[in-house]
Amino acid sequence: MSESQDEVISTPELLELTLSHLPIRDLLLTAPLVCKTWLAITRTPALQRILFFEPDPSPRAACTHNPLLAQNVKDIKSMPWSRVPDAFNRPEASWRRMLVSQPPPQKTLVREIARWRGGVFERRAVVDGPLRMGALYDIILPLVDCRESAFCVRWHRDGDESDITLAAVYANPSLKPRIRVLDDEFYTVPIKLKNDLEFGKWGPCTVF
Amino acid sequence: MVLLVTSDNEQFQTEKDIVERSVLIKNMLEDVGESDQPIPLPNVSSSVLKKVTQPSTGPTEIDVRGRYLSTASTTVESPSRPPILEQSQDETRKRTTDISEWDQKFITVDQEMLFEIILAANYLDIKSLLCRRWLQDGSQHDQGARPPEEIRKLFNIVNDFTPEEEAQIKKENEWAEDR
Repeated sequence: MSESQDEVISTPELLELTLSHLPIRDLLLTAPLVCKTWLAITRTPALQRILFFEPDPSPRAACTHNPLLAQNVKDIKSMPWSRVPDAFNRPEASWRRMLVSQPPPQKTLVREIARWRGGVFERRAVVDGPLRMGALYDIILPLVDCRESAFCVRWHRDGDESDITLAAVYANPSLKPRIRVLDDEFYTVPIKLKNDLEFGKWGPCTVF
Repeated sequence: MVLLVTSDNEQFQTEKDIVERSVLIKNMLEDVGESDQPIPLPNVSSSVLKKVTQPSTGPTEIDVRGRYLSTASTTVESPSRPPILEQSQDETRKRTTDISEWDQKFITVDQEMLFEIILAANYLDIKSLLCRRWLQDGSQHDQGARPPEEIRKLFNIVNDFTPEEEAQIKKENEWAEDR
């Protein structure tokens, strides 16, 4: 090994800088497997931010969506569960810890909207803290799985009351689940759905 | 014009705006003020300085990051590459068109030179020149990082993971191998 190679490899700051220029997929999949030192370097704050594991505090003009999640999880209904269900469903799978964007939404508004007896009603829940994909998944799945519903995600700009809104729209809240849309298509192992959200009371829906 | 003196005592007359890409040199120039005094660069050899200060044929912003280091050929697949590292057609095409002529010229340096550039760039504080080229396959048709085994072999790194530890890391990220 040459002298300059040796110096770059053995200087954590230089190695960190060099790794920071790797494509995110290689930084996630390849770099941590080389040795313990490299693993430790992928866990520095700078690289954790690049990997969407830690929120980036530096102000920036535009929000970047997590490209790995965008590639692998185009929308919640096309997650490739059926191809590698184990890799996705295991609790330690790293996608669960990944932020959905950088900087991440700090305030998530969840709205359930129902058309019911000639009126439109809604109830709301708010989730504080940086939004990670695992939490997003846990919030969304029960909403879209329970009833006939349409679902939408809206990203907000500065000045709105929340950074991101997740809204489920039901045809009729009193309907018992008729179709469990996600059953066979989206995961092969039945998982227990949890929805710990504390919703407010149903009320008239003002903004639709 | 600014006069720079490299570690091998070669003198360089360089445009001021080019050398001012380097934070170190910029600060030095501000410190000495207008002066004909040569600026010594004891950590930088002449061959490396030539690369680092290549004039205006380069991008206007020298901050091209690792981009120029992803070499491009859509036609040939490296047979040794595991399928998980293959990139989508779209991504490949994007990268191909992203690489300017300057970038391509820049990467035609040997491995040893690259390491010296990394060191020199770090010394001169031109962070954008730091590169990942050395983590990649040297062949022209490379599109991703080498596998961990190859990186270890190349840089004499001992695999100090137990098989269990290695398996655990793989398990966490296995989902991303699917595309």
